[in-house]
Amino acid sequence: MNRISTTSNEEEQLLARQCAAQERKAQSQFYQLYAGRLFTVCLRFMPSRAEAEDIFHDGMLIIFERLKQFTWQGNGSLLKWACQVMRNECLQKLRKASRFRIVSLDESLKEEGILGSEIEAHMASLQDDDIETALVQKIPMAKILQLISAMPDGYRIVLNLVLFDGLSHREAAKLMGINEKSSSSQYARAKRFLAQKIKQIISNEQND
Amino acid sequence: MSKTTEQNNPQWLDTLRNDVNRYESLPPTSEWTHLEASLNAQGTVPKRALWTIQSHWLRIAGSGAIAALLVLGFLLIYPASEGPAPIVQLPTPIVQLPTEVSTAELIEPSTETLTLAPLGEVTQITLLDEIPFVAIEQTTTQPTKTTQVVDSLLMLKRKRQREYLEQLEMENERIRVYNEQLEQSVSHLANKRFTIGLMADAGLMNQSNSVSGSTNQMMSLAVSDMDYESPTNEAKGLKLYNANNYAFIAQPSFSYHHKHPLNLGLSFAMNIAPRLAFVTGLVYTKLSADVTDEIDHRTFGQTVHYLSIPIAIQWSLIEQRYYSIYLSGGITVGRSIHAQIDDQSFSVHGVQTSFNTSLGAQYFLLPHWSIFSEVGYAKFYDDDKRIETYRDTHSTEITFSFGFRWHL
Repeated sequence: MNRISTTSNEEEQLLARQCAAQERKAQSQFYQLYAGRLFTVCLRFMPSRAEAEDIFHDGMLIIFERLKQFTWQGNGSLLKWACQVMRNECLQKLRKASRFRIVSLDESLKEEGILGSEIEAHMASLQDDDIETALVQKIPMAKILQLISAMPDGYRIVLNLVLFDGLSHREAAKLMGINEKSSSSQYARAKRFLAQKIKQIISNEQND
Repeated sequence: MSKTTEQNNPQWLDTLRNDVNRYESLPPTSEWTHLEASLNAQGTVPKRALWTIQSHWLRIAGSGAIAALLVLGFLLIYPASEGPAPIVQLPTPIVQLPTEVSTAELIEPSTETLTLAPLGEVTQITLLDEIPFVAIEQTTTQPTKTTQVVDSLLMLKRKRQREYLEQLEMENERIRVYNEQLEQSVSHLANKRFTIGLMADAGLMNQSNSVSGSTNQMMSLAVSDMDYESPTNEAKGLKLYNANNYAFIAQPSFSYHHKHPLNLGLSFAMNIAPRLAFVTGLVYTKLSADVTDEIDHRTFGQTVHYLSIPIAIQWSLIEQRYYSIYLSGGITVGRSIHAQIDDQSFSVHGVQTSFNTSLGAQYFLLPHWSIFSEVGYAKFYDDDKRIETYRDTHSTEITFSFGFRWHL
């Protein structure tokens, strides 16, 4: 159920004001409305559920603390702003843990057990990263999120920033502290990596 | 298959993006309860500014400051030249004494040696033209800690010895005059062998056969019937009785009343991993004691100043936004920067080491500053066995400390 769509413009603005005034009832309502979406942001960015839970708690406190700085800019802007704050918290946590490592595809393939001459063949096989949309939609979302969490840090972060959050490569590169080209190539590899994993899942399900 | 234009993504990826962005994962059911508790707690405490060190220059400056501090501390603890630089330069003994003196032994004046008896018994000392008191230091046998000879205390004693020797020289002069008179007035005793004695403290006679006449003027002299080769030989020296005034040249014994140490310091912490921090700093310690000479019951003040560097790893048990509770363990190395007994300075050699563990809590007041309080256990290792301090009598200690800590 999409609970977020139930809030009107006026309700959203009122909710933001009441939360900023530290009204516990309003904060509870905010939590009921947006916790699911914000927790998904944490699950996407963090490499484990435990770390996602930790950062979610801290992030929610920060959101309530900074809500007085929030300026309403139209319907949905409250959620968008809250997601940005949560994303920044995740990035800060990852940066602190030095997890902004760019992973080369060769490296990730080696981790997968694909070595030497097999790499070229494997790369060629990945060029066609098209998958039946219907098949992808059959995979439970929880499994997709697990798949994203399990991606190498560099892949996961760039995929989240560019694909799910819609940032440009310039913006993503700035946040990650890398250059735009690196972000672009990292994103391309991340997409292929994800496609490969999804194909594996589909293949396993078809075999079953 | 159609392709999207913006990211040049395949359709399945765009669909996936939309699905993920619409998806709501439920956080743990108890999360709101925890969140509410945190929000309630926040209302009662001042807010801590959000902090992360974004500037590389600040990191470099902080790291440089800590490195400089460590180097400074290292230089203080391990100076380039150890240089024992004894405070008291022992003069070369004029008379070579035996390395151990155990019991009273009467030495003839001509042998130019002197003899000590156990304290409280009569000591017979032959005073020569130049009396090698300092040589007596060599007579101490493997002393225990409590009776250890401390350079500065010896210096004080030597000062008193010098004063006493000056008095003795005056007495010697008077004796010389007396001997001249004696030679004239007791010529009839020329063939009789006797000994001249001097009461060292009150100048009162305690021996028999006092000489009448001019000897009355020399209240401090006594004539015994002990063998004495010839009055003319007395110019070489005289014999002293009563050990009390010379007890200080025997092995000294001191009692210590230690005061509780005073510690002041700065502490720096740098996160090296989640929940793990490297902690260092600089600590000044003052160890004071009242030292009492058990022989003459005089009391001196003893103060030793230390500068130490603690190096510890801190592990956060509970890490919240505004506070953390942690365990830490590490070592502290320190060196005395100044030591004094009474008005005499002296050197404490060696490095004092201690192992420390503590349980503490810190609360962040400012972005990089926290106030902390710790209860700890410390085990100290002696640096210089010649001097007794609070750390010697309390080699293990429960410590309580609090202060400010800077976080890099």
